[in-house]
Amino acid sequence: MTARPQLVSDDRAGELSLARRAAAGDEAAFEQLYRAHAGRVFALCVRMSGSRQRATELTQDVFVHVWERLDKWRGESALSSWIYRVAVNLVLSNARGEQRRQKHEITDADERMTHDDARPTTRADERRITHADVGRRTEEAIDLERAIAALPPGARAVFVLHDVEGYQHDEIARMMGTAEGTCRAQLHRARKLLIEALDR
Amino acid sequence: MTHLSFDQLSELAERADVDVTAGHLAECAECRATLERIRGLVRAARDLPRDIEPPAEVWAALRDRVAGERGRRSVVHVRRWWHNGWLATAAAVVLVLGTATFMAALARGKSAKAKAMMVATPPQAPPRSTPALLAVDRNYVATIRELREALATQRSELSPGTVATLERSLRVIDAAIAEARTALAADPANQALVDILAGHYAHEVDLLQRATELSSSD
Repeated sequence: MTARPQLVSDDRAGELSLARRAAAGDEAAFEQLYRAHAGRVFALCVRMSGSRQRATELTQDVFVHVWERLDKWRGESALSSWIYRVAVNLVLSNARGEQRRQKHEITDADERMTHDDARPTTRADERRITHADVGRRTEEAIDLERAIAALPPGARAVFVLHDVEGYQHDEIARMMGTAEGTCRAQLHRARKLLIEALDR
Repeated sequence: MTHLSFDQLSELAERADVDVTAGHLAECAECRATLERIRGLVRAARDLPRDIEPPAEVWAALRDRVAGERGRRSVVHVRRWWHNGWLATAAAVVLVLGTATFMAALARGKSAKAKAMMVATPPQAPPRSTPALLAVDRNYVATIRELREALATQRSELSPGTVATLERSLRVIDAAIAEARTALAADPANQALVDILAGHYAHEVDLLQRATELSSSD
């Protein structure tokens, strides 16, 4: 239904050259690569984690990961797609680790499925998305960003990947290591919670 | 009237071919409104900006982290290289021991190869300085002395196990050098012996260089 985000660059040879230089220790090349992709990676991290501070750490982790594996990227896919997939996997992996650490805050998947109300976010207000973060976006978009940040982690991840980023249910299920039906249920739940939050 | 559940409407929102003029949707304004609300939410989500500019400190911190990782990698590289160096040294020791065996065979005249290399003049000990011996010594002895002195000052930076292994290897190589020197003194015209002695010296220089580099990298 939704279209996969388009690639940043079609210049595969240029990307390959840039990646090779960055992998070889060329800091300027790595910075160029970072500048080209950091915005999208950071946006994903903010929305998936619901925390600007956590997103800052995650974005660093993503690019360290990218730097460590740049020499393994052979140019079969666009560099932007590859980096983005690295980001999604790392954020999901991090979320799973956080879930294990914070069982008292985040219930397991089955329990989450029975909730009707949005779980109030435990993040400090200053970590939430603010007007300054989104610049001149409309009030509606700002409200939507806030409502997404307040979603329970599982529902938030599925909503961001499906409705914002355009991944399909089978891909999300694979990435999250859950059943496709669970992803669908999480998406419906996220949409319901968001509509309720936005209509309040 | 039984309304469609939210999940059912959310599923319908996934599809572009839903006919709202047919079935329950045609009759139920409430369900149509909910379906349209879900679609509006999906449109709004899709219209969210693709990029959010990260804080400037992200790049600064990232650059430092990558620089740190790069530094650690180079140490690991040196260590791996050093590990490989030990393997190379082990191979050299095998070579040295093989050479020592060859030298013994040469002395005893037991192998055909040894016999082929044996000259009429019997080996004499202790070795005397000959032009060939002096030439080989001139190339290596000063370097080895300097490296040994450098290593002696850095010895405390190496683990006891490494020092023990290093000394054991040096003893083996030194024994082989002594043996080759003795043979060369007895047979100064034998180029094979010159090469063997030079090879032993080269192994020792290589080993000492690796050891000094390891100690200075730790």
